[in-house]
Amino acid sequence: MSWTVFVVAIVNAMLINNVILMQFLGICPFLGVSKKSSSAIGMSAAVGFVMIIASLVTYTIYSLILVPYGIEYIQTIAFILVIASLVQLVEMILKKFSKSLYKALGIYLPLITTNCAILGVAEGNISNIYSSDISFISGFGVAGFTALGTALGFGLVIFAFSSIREKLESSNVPESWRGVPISLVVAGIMSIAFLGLAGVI
Amino acid sequence: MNFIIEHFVPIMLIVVLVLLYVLTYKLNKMTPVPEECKEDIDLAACNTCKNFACSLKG
Repeated sequence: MSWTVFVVAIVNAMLINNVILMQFLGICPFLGVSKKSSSAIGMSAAVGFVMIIASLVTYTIYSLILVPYGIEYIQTIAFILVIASLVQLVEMILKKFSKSLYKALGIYLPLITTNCAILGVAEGNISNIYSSDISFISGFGVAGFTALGTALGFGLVIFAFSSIREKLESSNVPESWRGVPISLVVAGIMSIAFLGLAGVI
Repeated sequence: MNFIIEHFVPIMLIVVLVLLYVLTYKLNKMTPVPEECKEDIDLAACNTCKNFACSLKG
């Protein structure tokens, strides 16, 4: 498999099929944790961290356990449990071995358990990438790079949005448009801007 | 044999994953929070969304 496949997977997941603006997943942290740039960076780092690990683990479980036994129909419930366990595990490891990383990401980790972007990427990897024609290693690699691209796209959008919101705080916005209304208008304009990237690859 | 695979394996897999979640949850709760992070955890503690950046703390 050529390396261009992995580059395309990253660019596609990051810009063209952006998880927030094109797939409308992860809207809760997009609107809830984007008031300050610092919290947006922390949240996107935590989401990216869990998203990549979750994608690799769920792809492995699907390929090596669910498909051989013909029990693909339990994939959603299995993925939810895997993601929830993974978040607990990651939080525990950070508490124990990386206090600085826990300080940066720790408070965002419980929120990720219910983040639909993580489950969406795991499910998307199965429906878009998994095929009996490609080897496990190739599929595993593409799933990992897709998760990386999705995490970068999530970070890019949430950081850009938080920067705009910070700027809007000090701008002269009409009273009735302050806060959530103007934020939703900005999100809509950003989504339209990302539509322009459709068809690049 | 097919009957066992069709009905027993999915149930066992879900049971194993639930037990795995309970185990990781318990282990996580038993792991002490680092001293320097306790303040951040208190800030995030809230009755509603537990969102650190949320300005509507209940």
